[in-house]
Amino acid sequence: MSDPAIQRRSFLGKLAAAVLGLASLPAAWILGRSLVPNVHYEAPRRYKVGRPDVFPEGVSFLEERRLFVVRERNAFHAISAICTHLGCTVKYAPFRHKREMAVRGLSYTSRGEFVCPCHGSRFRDEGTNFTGPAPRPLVWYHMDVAPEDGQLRIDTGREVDRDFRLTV
Amino acid sequence: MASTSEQGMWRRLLWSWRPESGREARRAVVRNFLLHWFPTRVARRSLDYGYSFYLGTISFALFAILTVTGIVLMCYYVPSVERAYGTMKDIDTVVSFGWFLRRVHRIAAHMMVVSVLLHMVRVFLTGAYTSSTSSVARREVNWIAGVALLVLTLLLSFTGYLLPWDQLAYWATTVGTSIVASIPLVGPPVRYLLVGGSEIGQATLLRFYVLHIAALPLVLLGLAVWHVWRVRKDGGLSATEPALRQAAEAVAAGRAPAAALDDDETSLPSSPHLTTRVLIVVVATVAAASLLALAFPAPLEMRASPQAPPNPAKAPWYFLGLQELVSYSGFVGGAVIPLAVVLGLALIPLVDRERRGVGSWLVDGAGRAWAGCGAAYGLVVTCGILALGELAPMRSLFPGVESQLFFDVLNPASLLLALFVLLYWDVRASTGSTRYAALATFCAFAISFALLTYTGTALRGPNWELFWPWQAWPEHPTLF
Amino acid sequence: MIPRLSRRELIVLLAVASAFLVSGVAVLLVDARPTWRHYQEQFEDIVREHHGAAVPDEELRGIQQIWVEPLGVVDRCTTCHQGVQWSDLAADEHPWRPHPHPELLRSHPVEEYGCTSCHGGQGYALDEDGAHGPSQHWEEPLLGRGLAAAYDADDPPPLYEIRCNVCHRYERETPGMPVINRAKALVRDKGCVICHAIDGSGGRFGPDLTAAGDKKPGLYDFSVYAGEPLSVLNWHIAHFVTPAEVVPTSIMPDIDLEAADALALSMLMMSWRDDGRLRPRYLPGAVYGEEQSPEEMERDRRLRESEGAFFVENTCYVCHSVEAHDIQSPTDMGPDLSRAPETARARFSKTLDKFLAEPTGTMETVLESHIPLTEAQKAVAIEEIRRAYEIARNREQIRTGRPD
Repeated sequence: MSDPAIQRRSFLGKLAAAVLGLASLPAAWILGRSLVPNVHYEAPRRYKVGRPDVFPEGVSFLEERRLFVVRERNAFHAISAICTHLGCTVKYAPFRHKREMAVRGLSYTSRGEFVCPCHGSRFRDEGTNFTGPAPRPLVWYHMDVAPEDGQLRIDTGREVDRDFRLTV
Repeated sequence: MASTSEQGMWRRLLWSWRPESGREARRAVVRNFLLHWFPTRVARRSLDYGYSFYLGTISFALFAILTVTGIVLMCYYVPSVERAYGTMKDIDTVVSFGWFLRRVHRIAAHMMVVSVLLHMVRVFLTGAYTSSTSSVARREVNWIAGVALLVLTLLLSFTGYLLPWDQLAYWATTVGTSIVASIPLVGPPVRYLLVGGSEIGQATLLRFYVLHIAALPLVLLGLAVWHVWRVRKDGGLSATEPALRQAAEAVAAGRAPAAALDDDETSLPSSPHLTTRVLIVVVATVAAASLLALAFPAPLEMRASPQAPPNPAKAPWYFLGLQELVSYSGFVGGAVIPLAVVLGLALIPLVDRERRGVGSWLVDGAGRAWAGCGAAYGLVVTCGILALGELAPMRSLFPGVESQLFFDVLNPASLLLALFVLLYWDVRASTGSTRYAALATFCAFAISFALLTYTGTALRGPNWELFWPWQAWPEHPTLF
Repeated sequence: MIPRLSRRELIVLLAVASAFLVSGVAVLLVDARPTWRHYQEQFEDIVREHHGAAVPDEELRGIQQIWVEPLGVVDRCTTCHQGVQWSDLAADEHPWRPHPHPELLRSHPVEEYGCTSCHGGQGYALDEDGAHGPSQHWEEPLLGRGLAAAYDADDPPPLYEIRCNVCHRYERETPGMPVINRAKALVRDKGCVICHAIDGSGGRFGPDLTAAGDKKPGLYDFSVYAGEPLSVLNWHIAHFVTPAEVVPTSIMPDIDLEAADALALSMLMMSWRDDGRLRPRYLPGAVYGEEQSPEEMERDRRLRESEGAFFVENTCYVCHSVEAHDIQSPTDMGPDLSRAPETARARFSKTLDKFLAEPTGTMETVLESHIPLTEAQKAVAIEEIRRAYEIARNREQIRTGRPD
């Protein structure tokens, strides 16, 4: 293997193999990356629901969005109306009289609860499931104020916990 | 240098690709799945770029490129008349590298039609559709399989053409299926099945889609694999014929036959010599397709509009020669000539049984001369009938005649056919050889096909009128 | 030993492998920096500099797509035009400029209409030429000033009104569409329906014009008339001015139009598209539902325009009659509101104000879920009820002749 001709060919062979290997990288990237979608033909995850002053105090139900927007004076939060059991839309049942309650370590004034008509799951108004087959609390979504026109904006791609408040 | 155990590991994995002894080279094709298509040894002449130009390999590589790019495109394309066009737009705009993969797919499709045609021309001109030795080789059968593969390639291209559902796609399909319908007896039912009804619509799109992505590729793959296996069974490319013939003669003379392909002067082990060449050709094909795709955009015209045919409405380029002839006579151009061509091609091995000059280009000096004659004849005759069609249209020469049959019999297309038949008999008569006659006729046909295709592509404008390259087509109106 | 691969062989392999590598790298480079990314970065700078807003907003990076399924609209305009929905942005130039008519955006939100519904253009495209056009294979160019200048460089016509009228065609007159409004008036004045069928009724002397805007350019005859640009719009303008010069066999009379009027009518023609796929909510002015008898129409009009319109608008009258304004509830499930101040005291021992602030019984549910009223609205309701009460008391006094 000390013949220079053979050594040259061995080098050329390795070089050719290396270049081929290198060339396969952009090719693999092109074929692979093209399979990852860049746009989605779905309902938008983030959407605006109106300016803060159109929302009355308390719970507002947005039927098409399957969402509750809750207002406590100047603090807003958004709770999903989708039951965590099998996806039915829950209803809000307000109490005649507000109650003091402690749920999962949080003491607060409860004004009603969410009820799912499909299998009877019930949730506290801060979302915790306490009766029925629902396995998890109702989801809270991130809210902010759209800088361009001041509307409230819900992001169903970002879940937040029950401490979340948007103060306007 | 890598450590011995590392080297040993690479060696164990890759030995069959880089055999280091004659024994390893022989075992490689037996022990390696991918290599078992290849013979142990391959004739040096077969390896020659200048013999086969590796057109078969190129065709197969293009098919592989089409499959891979096609799979990605299938993740985005929807075969619905409402949605297809939108998905094409999306591929071109928002799919990462979608514009490029679509261009590669299209250019590889065109390249494959060209390479398959060139491959057929090469096989014919080297007489490789027949065998010169004993009955072991059955190249005639393989030739017919090859003609079938050509038809399948054209069908694959044709079915794919419709999928974008733009004006180009829709009207090319309209023209193409009309040509099919002009075949007597079987034409209309076949068109009905292809179209899935009477009018081109959702049913057509779905059938063409199924044909394009599933049915035709499977059939083509199966047939292509059989085609390559047949080559192996036939002893390799016909460039090996001289060696095989010598071996047969030696057996007949009672000498112990030298193993026809055992010495390094006439042959080489497939691994690594054939494998390397195949690799070179495949990589070159991929590179060429990529570079051509960077240079040439894939057109997407307006959404298909059944009420508004474009003027002119053209078939895909490989059918434009046919469309040119169809403009003279639907029956002759659409039915008679295509049938004659396909049957003629398929039956060449049965017509030419001389088995002369198998494995050599154009046989010999006389062969080259006759090929040249044929090409020149084809050129002259085709220009002649084109001029005849332009300057003396049949319906102007015989304004009083009403009979369609009259015009179907007497027209430039049937004249062309007649002149070709004349050429064959004439050469056959003057040389007494079917091979030379076939050579001349085939070359004439090839030149004629090329010229008619060029005319249909570049010189025909609105109303199928002749526009020389320097003449501008009338401007097309727009909404605003 | 077997013959080794020749050096030439390996050099050829190296060459094709390099070509393959080069082609791959070239593709990556070509694709790497689309113009829109550049615009997005500059937008981020504008917002950060002048508005200190929460940037970078990751949602705004990348391709932005508005998909309006009922209209079949897929618009990616906001990929470059990121400032469109901002009410106040420190940017005067395209593509970051906010929409010059935010009130139009409010009534036609982008999420429900897209952009191309009003402006034309190619929503799919991500490059300027492809998106705006004119482009050889996309027939709907952006109906902007650039295109309009080809028709009148000094006073470019508002071609976008064509797109307004695709939906607004059933309205007699729409604010913001002066040219189309003029064209509609001309259609009424000149009596076009005598010869042409439009929307199902009219004459048969000329072609049906209901979907005149859908006729493809290839179907027009430009053999006699050829304008600059060679467009359907120009064809219409010339045809309106002198029909016989454009269609020699035409029996359409010369209707003596000025150039501006011919342009208005041509724009109207091009706006008349087949709206068969549009849902009713996109077609203002179109009448849907059962035919009403004259009595029913009169009754509804009276309700809408009466003194007690407040109770109709806010649907109180569904349960409560209001005798003072002669409003009869279809159900009478609750007490007459003209007596509400007395009823509240009698039934609930509360003043009216207190009752509306803390409702009990059915009203609690109603005011919570069905008719949520803001504080301001409740104040108005109280006013209206008091007024009705006064009116009812006066009537009572007149009737019985007895002061209360």
